Amino acid sequence: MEGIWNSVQDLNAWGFAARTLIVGVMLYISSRFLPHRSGGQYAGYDFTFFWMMGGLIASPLFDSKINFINTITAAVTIYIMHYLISFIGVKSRAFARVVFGKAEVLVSGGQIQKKNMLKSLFPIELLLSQLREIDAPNIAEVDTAILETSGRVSALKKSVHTPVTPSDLNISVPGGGLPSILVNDGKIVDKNLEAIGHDRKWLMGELNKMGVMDIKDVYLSTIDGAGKVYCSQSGRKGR
Amino acid sequence: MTWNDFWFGAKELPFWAFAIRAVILYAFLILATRFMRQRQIAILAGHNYLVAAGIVSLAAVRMVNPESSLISGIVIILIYAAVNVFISFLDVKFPRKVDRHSTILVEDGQLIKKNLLDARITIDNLLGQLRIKNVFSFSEIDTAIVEPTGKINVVKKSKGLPVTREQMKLPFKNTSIPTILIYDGKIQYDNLKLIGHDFKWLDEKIKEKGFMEAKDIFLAAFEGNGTLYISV
Repeated sequence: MEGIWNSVQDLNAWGFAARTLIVGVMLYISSRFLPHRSGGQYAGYDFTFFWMMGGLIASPLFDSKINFINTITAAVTIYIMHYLISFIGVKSRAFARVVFGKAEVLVSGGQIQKKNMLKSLFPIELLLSQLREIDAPNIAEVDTAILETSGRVSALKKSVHTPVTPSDLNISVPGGGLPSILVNDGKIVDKNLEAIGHDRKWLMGELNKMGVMDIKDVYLSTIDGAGKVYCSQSGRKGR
Repeated sequence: MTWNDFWFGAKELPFWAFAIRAVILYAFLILATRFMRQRQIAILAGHNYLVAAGIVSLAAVRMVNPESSLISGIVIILIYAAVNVFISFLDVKFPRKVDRHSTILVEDGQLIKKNLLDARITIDNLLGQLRIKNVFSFSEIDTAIVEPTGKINVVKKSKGLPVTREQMKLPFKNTSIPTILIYDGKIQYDNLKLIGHDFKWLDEKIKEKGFMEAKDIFLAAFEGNGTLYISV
């Protein structure tokens, strides 16, 4: 059984089954500590880190000669390197530009920049496909399109083709922003209630107006920027 | 352990050797990814996908297996990346020959049965993808396309789109992406020059907004509509 943790010449199926379970535990631990940005794959080194971690953690299953100590050493090293690169990148924009790469302008002033397209190995088909993805299917409407370091394309439409907003029509709209949670599965979130300057009595009053008698019946209740209370009750059917 | 063992592999290596191996291989992978360009990171084509899965597991196994050679690991990374770049280059030169092409599933609001079968997309797959794209009825659709990446994109009928400024006959408004002028208290002089202003102008603008010095500002950006955005 010593081949499970250490490197051996041969390992039977049971040994690999046991290794798989250990890999499962490692998978849990590493996904728990995965940096946010690696999942978002903002730049090349995030991409490399993310895919590499997957291969690295599973590597004791590739070959019985690969042991766990080496795997953990390599994984921790990669993790530290990713952390250091991110840290220096946040501090120095010059460093970030070299390691992360920089965003390429693919369309500027409505004109496709052939030089940058070639430099980024980007065919026209791909540009059009990426524009469709971000709801800019007509390139004639696009003023600027940028290939971000993450490989995604962003587009700024010409102002005449942008949707009309309330500020264009001089309409004032109250509220907006994220709603905050007041009741979560029957429990009142006092911290949020305090933050908006109300108390439990006020909340009960608001909920009573919507026909809620017992706070335990409330699955979720939120309040938005305009002060409108939303309430969803447990066990109530939809249409 | 000799240098030879470190570079070409041996029966056993001390554990810190694996740490150094990891650093070297990770550095080469970052370099290779930079060469493969952004399209690799977002995995925008079939060959990008296969290379992504292949190159990293190759590197990962070499990182932790003492008997494998570090040198051959590096060589594989660089050549595999070069092959990927070459295929991407062919994709640019000869479009439609390398990557799968996109297929139209709905045209002028009519489903195209043959193309749905060709792409092996069931009607429920299509409906699910359309819902994700915020389309809940067939009559809203002008065109639907399945992209080489497998994503389904929708072009809505123009009468179902939000009203644009042009349709409301609103006056022209300048749009452009913002230019960063101050980051972490440091003035970006090259960007300032780019938009045709100087330090004096920026200083005045900052004071106008009630700030003392550039040092106190975390981010200042010149926006498309000519205003200065400031966050401390």
